[in-house]
Amino acid sequence: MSDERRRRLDELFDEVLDASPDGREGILERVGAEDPTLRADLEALVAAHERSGGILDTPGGLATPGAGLPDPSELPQRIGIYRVVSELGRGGMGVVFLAERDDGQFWRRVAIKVISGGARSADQRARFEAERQILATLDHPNIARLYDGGVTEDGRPYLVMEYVDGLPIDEYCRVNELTVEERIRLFCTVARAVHHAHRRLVVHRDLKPTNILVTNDGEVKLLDFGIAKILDPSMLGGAAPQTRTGLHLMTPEYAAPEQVMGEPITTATDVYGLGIVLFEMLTGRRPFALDGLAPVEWARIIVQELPPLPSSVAEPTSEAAAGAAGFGAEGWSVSGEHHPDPAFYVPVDVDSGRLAARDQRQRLRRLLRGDLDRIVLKTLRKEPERRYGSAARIVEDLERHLEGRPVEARADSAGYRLRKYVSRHRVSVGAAAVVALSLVGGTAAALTQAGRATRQAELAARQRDLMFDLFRLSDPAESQGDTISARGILDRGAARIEQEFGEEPVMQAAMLSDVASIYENLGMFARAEELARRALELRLQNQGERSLEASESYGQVGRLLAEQGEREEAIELLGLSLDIRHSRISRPDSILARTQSDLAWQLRAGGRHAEAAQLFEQALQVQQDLLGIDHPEAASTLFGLAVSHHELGQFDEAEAVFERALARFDTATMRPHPVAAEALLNIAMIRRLRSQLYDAEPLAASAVKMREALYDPTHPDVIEALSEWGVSLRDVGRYEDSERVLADALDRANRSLGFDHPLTLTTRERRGTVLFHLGRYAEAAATVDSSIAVKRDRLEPDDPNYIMALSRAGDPNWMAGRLDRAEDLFRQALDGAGRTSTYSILVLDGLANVALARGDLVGADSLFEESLGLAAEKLRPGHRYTQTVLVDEAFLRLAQGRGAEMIDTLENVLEIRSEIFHEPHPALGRTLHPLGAAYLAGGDPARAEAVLVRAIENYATIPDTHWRMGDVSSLLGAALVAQGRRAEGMRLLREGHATVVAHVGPDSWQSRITAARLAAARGS
Amino acid sequence: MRMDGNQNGLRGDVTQLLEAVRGGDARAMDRLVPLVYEELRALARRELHREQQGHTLHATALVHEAYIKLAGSAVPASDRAHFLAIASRAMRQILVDHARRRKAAKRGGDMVCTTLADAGAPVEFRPDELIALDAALEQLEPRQRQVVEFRFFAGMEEKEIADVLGVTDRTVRREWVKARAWLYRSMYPDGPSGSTATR
Repeated sequence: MSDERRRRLDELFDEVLDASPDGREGILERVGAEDPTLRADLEALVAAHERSGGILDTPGGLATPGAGLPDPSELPQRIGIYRVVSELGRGGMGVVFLAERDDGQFWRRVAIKVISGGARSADQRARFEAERQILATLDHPNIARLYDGGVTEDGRPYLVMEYVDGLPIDEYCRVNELTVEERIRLFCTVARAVHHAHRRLVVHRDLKPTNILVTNDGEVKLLDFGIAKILDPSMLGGAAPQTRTGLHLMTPEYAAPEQVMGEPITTATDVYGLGIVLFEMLTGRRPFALDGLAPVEWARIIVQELPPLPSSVAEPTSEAAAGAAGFGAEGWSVSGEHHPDPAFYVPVDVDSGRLAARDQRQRLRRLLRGDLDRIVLKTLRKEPERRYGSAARIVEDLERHLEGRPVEARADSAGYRLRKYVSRHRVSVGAAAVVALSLVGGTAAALTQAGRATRQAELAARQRDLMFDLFRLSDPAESQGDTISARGILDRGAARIEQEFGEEPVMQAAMLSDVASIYENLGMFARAEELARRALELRLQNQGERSLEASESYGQVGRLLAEQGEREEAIELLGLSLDIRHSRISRPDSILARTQSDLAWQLRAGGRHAEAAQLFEQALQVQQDLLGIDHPEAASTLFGLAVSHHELGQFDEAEAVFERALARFDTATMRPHPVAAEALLNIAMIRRLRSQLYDAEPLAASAVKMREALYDPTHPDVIEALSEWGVSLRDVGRYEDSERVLADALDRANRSLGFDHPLTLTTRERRGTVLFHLGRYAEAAATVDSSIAVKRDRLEPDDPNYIMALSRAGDPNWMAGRLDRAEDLFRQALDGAGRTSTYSILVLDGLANVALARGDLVGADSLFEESLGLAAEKLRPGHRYTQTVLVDEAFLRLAQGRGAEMIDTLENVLEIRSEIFHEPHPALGRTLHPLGAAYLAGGDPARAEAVLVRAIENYATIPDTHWRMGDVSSLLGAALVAQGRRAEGMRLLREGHATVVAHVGPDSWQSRITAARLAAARGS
Repeated sequence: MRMDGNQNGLRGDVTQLLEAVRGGDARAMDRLVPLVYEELRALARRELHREQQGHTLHATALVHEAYIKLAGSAVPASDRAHFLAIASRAMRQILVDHARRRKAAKRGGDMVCTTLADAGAPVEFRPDELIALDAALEQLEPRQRQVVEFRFFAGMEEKEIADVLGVTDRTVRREWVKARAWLYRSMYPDGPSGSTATR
């Protein structure tokens, strides 16, 4: 074709395009008369022009959206029986005209949508018509009616719809400053209309605010119901490639994942669309910012990214709010386009305006937090089947919310409680994520060892996919904001590792082991153990019984057993792990050292202090060299070593190690961190063992606070800290506080660790001791008894833990007058420990007390003597055990009438205790109490009076109803009587006796003493 | 290529060149085209390498990425339009080369996948169809050809094209409509009834 001819054709084509259909025919005829071939060429161009579905018509981007559509200048006069008034808008699929019907009978305005492309074949027209008929039956006050339809003269299908004059729903909310509740009610109207259509099997497919108008009267009208399906090329074009189906008709911001993926579109797709609309109505923004993103990117976001919690992003949108907020009213959403860019905010210079804005935002976010968050997120689930089952269900849930009843979204969410768990596990979850991500690197080594380097890339990729999926699939409702549900990830991860890596046992074991460590970090020891054992099995089978991997697995399982209190088996497995590792490595490494330290802790718990100390020493050497003394593992070992020395009676060594350990930490500047919490707790324990009680208590309290911030309230580490704090409070004499904390710790331990976990048992006994001090003997006895029952089954008779428990159980029984029971318990303890054990010091003391209570002064005397002899041999001078025995012995001397002999001893005890305890402290009271009696016995009632008054002051933290208060009052009365203040003295003697009787009964050994004292005073 | 050296320097170059192009400096255009072209090819190679099957290209994403890499994001919109105009030519060549290789590799049935600029998930094209389009484009008047290249291969907006070409929006629209008819006339000679169903 010549250029000349080509230019001519182009000009003629221009004319044709400018002409009306009739005019076109005229041009063609004119050209044909002149040059038939030119007419043929022109006709071919017009035909090509009218053609659709070519490469350039790929809807959207690469093609012109408006291609093949009439120019605005080519506004048609009429469409069917309607007279076109103006163009309302145009989009990728067609043009919408405002038109009027005026046939003399009635007048109405309609919107006519003319669809580009065309239904040309009879078959296509039939399908278009059939679909149109279905839509025409949709009769609902909130759905814009489809009146009519047809095909234009030039072959384009059109639809005639109810014309709605209104505002898009989001704009309506904003302009009318609707409250959250009003917005919810308006939304419910929308959802009900959608539900109506769904029941007639019509899916909207393109729900968005611009398709939901609200008229001036506040009436909601949904536009374009089901139109998207009619517009679908598969509907009209019939043979459009499958990949195009349904893709181009979505509005990215409102597209559901299944639309992006080209999966079937169902009513659930509309539920998702409603979710986005609700999100936007409540928060003033869309869940995803897709502006300016490449399609690949937004497709990925829709399919993979989790929407934010509405309450985390909501901004007040009403005009008033925007005004008060000091933001240019709707400066950021002028045309319904939301600009997250802060530059769109126009700040004003009134500070109060900003404050009001912040208040409003906070109020709005508070309203959304919780139920509304959950409801919105449930509509926005990626998986259609996990959304609300119908639009009506959303309405029901929103109504439940408005009525303050529990919502389905909450009950439905299996992860609801878990989420609370996870949200308190931020640190652990972070750790979990780190460990999970490190899997990729971690198992590369395993692969190389397995000699499978060729498959390494493939496997690494699979592993990466796995991890990616795990994080991606994490359910929004199970996580708070950016916090991922560690539990959910792990459970899925573990299941998939078991399923998908079966043919790669080496890698499978490595991954299982890693996941087990994450469970371990979360304190879920049983689950961790299960996986660690599975990894161990795999390694034993595939990598050899004495492989390093097997050694590591033995170590891991052993540690997990230790955490669960299975000490003996833990010792066995940790020992095995050490043995293998020793034989396989040339020089000690940090893994060996850690295992040594773990084993040492277990040996220490079993009372095998010498072995423990030796292992701690070895481990510390290696850890110092390889990790440095500041490493947490080294710190733990250091502390273990100090404790072992202490318990071995190697006090100087212990002291030196304590100093080293303490010197490393500045407790004032610690920030919340697991290692810091551990250090705080260790230091608290060191201080307590060194009798620096008032330094220990605040540290233990800080440790509790830190761990509560870091972990779930029932995490073992929290319970451990609480238990330690409880003891610290007891040590500083705050018995009521101590009892409260220990009761709390025990409650948590019972629930999360189980009745028989070592920490539960320890905590229970600690609570028993404080109950004992408070004089609540029956409770104390019952509490400790249940601990003994467990320990009897679990532990060897000579296990120190069992001995101490028996001893602790004996005390309240003694005090409560159940002397046979007390003696039985002390005897069992003595039989187990033997007469030469350090633990027997207090057991012999207990037996002596029982003998004394029975009036067996001779027996008591020899038992006290034996106890003190053992203490002198085993304990450093001034040990608290010794003080206890000395104070108890004083009561014997008093009973013997030799009380005055004890004055020096008790003065000495008081001095020692005064260095440890600050007044008022019941421990000082318990010393002053017999001291006063001794002064009285020694004929110095004035001194006795002063001392006894001090004793009462120091008993401030035990109840007034305690028999000790009664006894000390009685003594004071005797002292007053001795000084001639008879009336006052007798009153105290009587009241004191009454208090004792009321507390421990008239037949108790305590009341016999006060009764005798009262009788003596009366007789004097 | 030069990317590995001083990327900031290169970015500065590109920004300056774009300014010069906007100012009507034809030599600047000569220097800019190879930069853009090379970058796009490198990105395309990387993309193809990344995709195991080796037959998908995300056209618009490539152009955008090249633009960000070469020019950065803080460039005036008019420069962006000029860049896209240059990139459109390069994209056409890359895509068509790619289609030819597909076809030569006797995998003619495979689709060449590109991405729509603003409204779509990946859409596939037959290599034959792209090659036919390429050939048909050569027969067009230069301005119509440019409109198609800008719009189809670089996803430029009507207004951007109008700015680059120095014409009105309406002219761009009209040129597109006409170019489309010319192209279809030669690409689909079986006339308007030859719908996609027969392809």
